[in-house]
Amino acid sequence: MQFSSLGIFFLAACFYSGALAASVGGYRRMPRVLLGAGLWLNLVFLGGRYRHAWPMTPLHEGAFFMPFFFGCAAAIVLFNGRREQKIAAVSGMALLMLSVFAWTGVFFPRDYYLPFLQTRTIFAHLFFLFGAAGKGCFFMVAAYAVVLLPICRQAEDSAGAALLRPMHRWTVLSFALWTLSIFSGALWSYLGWGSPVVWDDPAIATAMGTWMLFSLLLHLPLTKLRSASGRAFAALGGALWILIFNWLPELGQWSFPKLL
Amino acid sequence: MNGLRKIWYWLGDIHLTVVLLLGMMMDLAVGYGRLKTHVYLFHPLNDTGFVKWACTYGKMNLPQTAWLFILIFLMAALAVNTFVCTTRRVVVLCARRKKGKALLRLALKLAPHLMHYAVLVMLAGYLVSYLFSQTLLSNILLPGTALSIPGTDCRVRLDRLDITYYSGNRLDYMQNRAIDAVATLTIRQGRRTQSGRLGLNRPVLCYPYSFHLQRFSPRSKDGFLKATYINLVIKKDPGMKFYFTGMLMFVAGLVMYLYDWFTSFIAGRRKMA
Repeated sequence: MQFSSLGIFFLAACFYSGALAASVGGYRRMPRVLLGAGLWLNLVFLGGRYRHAWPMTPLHEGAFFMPFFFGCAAAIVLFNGRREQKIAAVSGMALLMLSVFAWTGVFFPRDYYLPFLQTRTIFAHLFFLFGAAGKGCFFMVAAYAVVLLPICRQAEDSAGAALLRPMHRWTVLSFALWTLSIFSGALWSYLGWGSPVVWDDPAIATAMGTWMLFSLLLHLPLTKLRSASGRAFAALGGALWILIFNWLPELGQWSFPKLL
Repeated sequence: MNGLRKIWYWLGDIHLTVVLLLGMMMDLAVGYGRLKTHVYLFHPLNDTGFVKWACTYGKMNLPQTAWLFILIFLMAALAVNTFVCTTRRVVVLCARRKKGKALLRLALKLAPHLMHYAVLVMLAGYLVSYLFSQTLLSNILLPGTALSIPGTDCRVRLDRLDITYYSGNRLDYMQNRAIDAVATLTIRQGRRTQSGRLGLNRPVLCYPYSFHLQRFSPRSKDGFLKATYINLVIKKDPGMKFYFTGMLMFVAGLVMYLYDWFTSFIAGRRKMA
């Protein structure tokens, strides 16, 4: 089996699901070990895929890259988490989402497109990697929002705001990564085609829309809509946006995985 | 006077920002669908200016292109809102600055506002670009031949074209196909002569023009198309300097903001410990 074969990613997805099962079972160490193993296999697989594209960018393989970055975010929460029920719930939710993303990557890959010569620049690589990392971090915001929404509804505004602090941190990080992705994409587009915006790809509209979404979420605490439940609800809406406009277009058609 | 002040405050209202951002998101969602199904209507925007496009493709296909006109209107409104809101806050911050207080602290507090102004500079860049840029497409050059840019005394000559073909084992699909191309150009503009190496993602800049390699041939060692040529895109875009200045300003603001955010996070953790 080669490092780039889908079988490696399939194994990573199995480990992610194992980590979820261990987390649901109430184990403390097992989810960390399984998640670590899944991330390691995912990284090996990404390295294999990069090796088959380098010096070009594997632009159509976002379905494998995003789960890795999201898994890293989940690992930060899981490894950092104290023995709080809330943190356990957030990491459990993140593991559930991670498993779903990984399995969709296995069954709906879009890796039948070959890399093209124009992607042979550092800016194309940065555009792709920052974009995948930005999405991964934002799904962490969604994991927090799902868990905190019922708690925030009952909590006072000040207590709710304190609860949402980690969610805000992940939003800031996603915004920074997404901005860097857009800027790298604009530089790449200018070097390759002579204009920072190329109107041939519908993704230009969704990239802009997602940047507006992050800006909106960062401005919400300054408005009258700053109640904790309102912000958690907006974050969930944002996750739905990214799922529809940034994640689904990365997937291909259903195919039974060729594991070897 | 009171009325003017009210308008000023209303223009910079944060709730207006939220409404505009939401409106733009909705509009861009519609735009995504339109771009997916009617990309041929928007492709000419890459080559013609916005005004020409709006008078032709835009006007004739309004149900498909209206979202772009709405987007531009919303962007203009957001630009005004951002300017007023940011300026108000910057004035307050500078007025509140205590004497002797570290300048670095103030600079860090101003970081988000720097990002806001950067967005305005970038939008100005887009505006200048879409109103005043010129694009010359399909400029075919064979080795040893030259072409003139219409209406100028600028002349471009292709001296040589070096194509590297892939011959390793790692990238099966690239076997005997071009992996890199470098074209040596000589550009003569009046008395000034400049030579440059042009490649994919590697334009040659010769003020006020930039030369971009769109295509080259032969792409493959074993293909039957053996003619050696390059296809150039020549651009004159005065908006780019604004756009890239804005981008640099935004990155500077972002780095300062993240630095401030990270140091306060670490300080908070230490306090808790």
